[in-house]
Amino acid sequence: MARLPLLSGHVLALLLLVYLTLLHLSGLLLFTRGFLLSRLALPNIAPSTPNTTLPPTHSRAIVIIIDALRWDFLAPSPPAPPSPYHHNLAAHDPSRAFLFHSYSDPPTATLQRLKGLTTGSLPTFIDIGSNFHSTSIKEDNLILQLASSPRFGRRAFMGDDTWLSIYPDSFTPNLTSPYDSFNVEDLHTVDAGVTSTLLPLLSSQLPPGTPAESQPFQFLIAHYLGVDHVGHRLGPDHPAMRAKLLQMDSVLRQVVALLQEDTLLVLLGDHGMDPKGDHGGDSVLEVSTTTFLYSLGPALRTLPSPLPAALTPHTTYPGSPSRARSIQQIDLVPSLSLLLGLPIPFNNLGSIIPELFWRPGALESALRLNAQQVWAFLCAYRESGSGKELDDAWDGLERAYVTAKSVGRPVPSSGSTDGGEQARISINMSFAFVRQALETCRALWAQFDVVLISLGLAVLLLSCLALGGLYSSLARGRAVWEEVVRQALGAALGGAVLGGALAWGAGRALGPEAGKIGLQELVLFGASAGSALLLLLTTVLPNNLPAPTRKWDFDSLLAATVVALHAASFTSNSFILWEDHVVPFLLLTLLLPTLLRAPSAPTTHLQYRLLGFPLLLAACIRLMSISTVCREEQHPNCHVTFYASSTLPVSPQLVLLLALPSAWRVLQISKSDRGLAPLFLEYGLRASLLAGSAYWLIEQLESWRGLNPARIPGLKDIRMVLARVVLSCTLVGGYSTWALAPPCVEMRMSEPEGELDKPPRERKRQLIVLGYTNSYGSLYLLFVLVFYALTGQVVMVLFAVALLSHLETTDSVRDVEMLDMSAIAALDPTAPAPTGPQRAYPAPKMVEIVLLALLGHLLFFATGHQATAFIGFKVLTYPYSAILVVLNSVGALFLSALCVPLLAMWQVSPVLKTQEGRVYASVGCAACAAWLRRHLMVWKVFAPRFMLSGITLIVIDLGLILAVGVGSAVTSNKIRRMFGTAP
Amino acid sequence: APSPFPLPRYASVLGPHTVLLVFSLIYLPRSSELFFPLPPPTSSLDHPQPKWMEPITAAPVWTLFWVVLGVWGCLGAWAGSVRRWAKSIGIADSSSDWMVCAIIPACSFLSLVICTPIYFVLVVLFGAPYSSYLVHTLLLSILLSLLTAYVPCYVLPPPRQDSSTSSLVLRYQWTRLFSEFLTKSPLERILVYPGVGTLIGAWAGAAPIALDWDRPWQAWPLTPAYGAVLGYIAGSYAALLTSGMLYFAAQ
Repeated sequence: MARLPLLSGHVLALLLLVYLTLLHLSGLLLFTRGFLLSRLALPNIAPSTPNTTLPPTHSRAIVIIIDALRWDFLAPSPPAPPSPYHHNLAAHDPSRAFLFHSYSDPPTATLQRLKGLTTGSLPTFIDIGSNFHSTSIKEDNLILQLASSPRFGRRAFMGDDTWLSIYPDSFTPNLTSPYDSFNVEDLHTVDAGVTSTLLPLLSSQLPPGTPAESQPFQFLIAHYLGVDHVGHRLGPDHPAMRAKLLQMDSVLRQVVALLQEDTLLVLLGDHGMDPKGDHGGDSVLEVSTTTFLYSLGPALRTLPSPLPAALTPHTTYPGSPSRARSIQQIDLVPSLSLLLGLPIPFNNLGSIIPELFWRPGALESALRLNAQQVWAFLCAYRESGSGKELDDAWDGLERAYVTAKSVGRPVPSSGSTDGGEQARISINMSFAFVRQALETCRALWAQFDVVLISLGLAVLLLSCLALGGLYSSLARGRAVWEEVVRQALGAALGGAVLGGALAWGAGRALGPEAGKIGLQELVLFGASAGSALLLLLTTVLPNNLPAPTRKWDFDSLLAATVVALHAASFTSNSFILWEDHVVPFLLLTLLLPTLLRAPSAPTTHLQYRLLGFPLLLAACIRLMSISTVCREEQHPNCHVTFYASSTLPVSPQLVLLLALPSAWRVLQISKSDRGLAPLFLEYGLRASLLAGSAYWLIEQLESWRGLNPARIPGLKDIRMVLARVVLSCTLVGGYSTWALAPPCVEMRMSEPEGELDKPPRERKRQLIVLGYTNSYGSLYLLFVLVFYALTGQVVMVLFAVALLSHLETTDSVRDVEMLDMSAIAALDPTAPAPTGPQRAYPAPKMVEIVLLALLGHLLFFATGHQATAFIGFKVLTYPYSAILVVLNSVGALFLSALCVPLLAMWQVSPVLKTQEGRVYASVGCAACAAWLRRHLMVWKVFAPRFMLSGITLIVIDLGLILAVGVGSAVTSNKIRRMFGTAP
Repeated sequence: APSPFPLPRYASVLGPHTVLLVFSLIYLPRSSELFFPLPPPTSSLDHPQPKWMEPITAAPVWTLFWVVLGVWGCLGAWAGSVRRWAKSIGIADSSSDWMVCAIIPACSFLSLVICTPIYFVLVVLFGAPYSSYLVHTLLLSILLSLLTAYVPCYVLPPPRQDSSTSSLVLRYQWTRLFSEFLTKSPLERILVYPGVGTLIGAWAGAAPIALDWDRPWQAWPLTPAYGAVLGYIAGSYAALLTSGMLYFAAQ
């Protein structure tokens, strides 16, 4: 505190920005801890040895999955009153057929359920360790175990193509018939297709008694989608549902008729559906599904005595008159593995289904294997990088396992499971241990922490409010802004210490009652919330700053509306899906008033400028928005127009034609207005742009079919050299030119207050000055330009043009205001002459900054990103790709942050305003994600969008720090050189 | 001395005008059925929409065509009334010269010819497809020009480019009304408010298109077109309300 007053202006500004970044980081951290469930996917594969397997009861298996088969569709005792549209299964043989109510872990979406159904693990938002880009499963799983066993050489698959996206190479190619799962409108195509493949395949089986190896298939998955589609379209209580279920019933009857004795039949639903027929959340109806097992040959259950009650939990389906035997859906994984003589997949957390092993000796050994496998997994997980997660629960787990093991050991081969009391205890203990492991992991990985989520939201919201308060007091006290910032920083520091201490005290006092929230998180929250609160208080409390001068005019209202609309659009998954179209729409909305007001500008020249530049800007926005990659959900209304050359063999002709001229053209625009651009801008920039285009052209050439690249030696090297030359040229050449160039930027800052007294020619020169700054802005562009493929370059050039037009528009608007002022002053000499720094250089308006922020957003989409794909990049060919990848993905946003000072001449308050807009968006996004955390689309839409906006916020913060830090340092150096004094 | 603006007359004509506009929105598109059988619905078969919406959503181009036709008729009659009121208070050119009689309708038609391409570009800039649905977009642009430009061009004398004082005043009036949106009299409100309402309505009409409800009425450009006409109606009533309140406040 004592040293603060000695700090100069831009160090203060930097400190403030760093503080705000930290505040945002802590809010995001808290929120993320509660919201994003993560788990480490271990790469271990369970070995197949006699110690890990049981003798198989069946040598073949048929798994029929009926998507969204809710429990009451099949339940023997359906809820009262029974729906007339549902269908009830006939009575069955209790030793060969088993019907279970099964609990499927949320999110109840097909992809997540299929992962759970094959790995036996719990779904989380991020499975760390797996490849982010592809959806294929790398963990140990049932399908992988099948594929690596010689006994299951022919694996057939038919139905929902989701399977092939997670197991691309696990099924025998000529036995695979995938169907598109996307068209929910279509109720019958998939089902008819599956049936028409399934029944002939079953009929083609060789007669019973043939060795299983020579049968046409050893393992078969048939995935029906009709029930799910009927649910989505018409809901569960509709005549069509009954028809569909009857159709499924007839399929099942035909399959059973064709079933052979060595084959195990499993019929299951992957999840249920809510009363409207949707699924994805964790309501009882969505997680209640059905599992049905049928063994024509060997009886799975031979012991007459009842199973221990602890092993057979029951549950009551809502409205049902009686309780139903209930299992966890993932229990199928160990059960199926052991019945087929395979090892249990390494990451499995399910326990075996006791009914299927209720034979002499079988249950105990099965549970022993199960417990061993789960223990091995827990140990491996604990040794991994994320092992700390298990710390709290470790003692309990270890005790449970040791007990189960020690009880089991004295009678390793007791012969009869039924008899020994010891064996009974051992069974109970092992089962209890496996269930305890499941519950522990579920608490760790599969539960949102609402308290942490709210704490994070509170910090973000407070930071937002504090930022608003700070902005307003900075806007009011612009003359003494250093004093304001100093005060604010002091308050923030004090608040942080106070809040942190309070939270620490509270955490200590509460002790273990604080629940899952650790002391660190509590202190983090206390410190950030305290500092934000105190900061807010200092800005709100009465002070000696002048009253706000600018009232809410139409433009500010419009800008606020647009920001609010953007934030509100995150409540709907549709708007997030189409955000690449929403953003240009909002941008145009911002531009329209300027366009409409153009004819009322005082001079013809300004009228033309105000019509021309916004139109040019609008055209650039529209052209940029043409370039996009599509999300899966946008199909079939979207076509990929962003071509990354590495993935396309044929070059997009239009883009090739456009690339060079537009690169040339943008520089003419940036130069034409001024005429005093230094040498670098004239040649260096152009050369780098051309070289950048050439780089991608060569890459296009290499993949062109008509050309044999091998014949041209060193083509690749040329490309590589080009890329590096461009990089070093822009980095070294560009930035050194910028740093050494004469300080024309300060013309406006050094201007005296009496702006109005100057002749118009003087004002004209300001335009030149501003434009000159702009051409420096294009250096920022160059910096990231080379990281984009050819289409990206065209888009970047468009962005440059858009940026320049935006600045020109802004400038013209300011000129109009200036002229209006002078006109009023001339007409009415008694009017108070506008004084003070506000008039000397008008502060950027909210609308201008919001526009810039949205422009950056648009650039993000136009350079080939979609909000879900932000982390799956294409691989770049040259080294040091880590930085490049980061720049490629967030460069667009970074860029827009860097450009803010162009509007503002290194002022602090507008920078804050940008942050504020960003924070609103992030808070809106986070709040929606939290609110809709049970929504169907949370995994696919809301959570990725939240992550994107969190990253965006931080990137913008860093960009602003860089812009203000480096930019203002260079600028003030120049001023010093020019005037010989500090500013 | 010019008599005050006949606000009661305006209020009484506004009712039938609104009814006719709504008629051309809802009933006129059924005319398609007279000429050809409607194509069967292709989407959302399981969630049938109300019967009365079917002729509207079956063929959006034809719907737009009928709406444009209907709105044109309504606005033609409406523009005549507004011009009469303008004459009665001495704003419009009151000469009944045959030249004027021929020129005025020609001017308002010309306004459509000029405004339609501008709206077309604007709608595409806002995100309409640039290579498909061109007829749809064109019809929407015609509708927007009709609702915003037709009546003002019929009532007010067209701006002239010479430098006489009267042209200067006239140009100032045009920019004040349609660039700064400043109105001073009931008549000016009648000319400006519905146009602003149209633009806001069409703008808001774009929002439901993105939703994944899969309803037939989400087809381009039904929502912006219907939003525009509804916005026009709302603007007309806003003009009446404002003028009425100012009138009573002055009393």
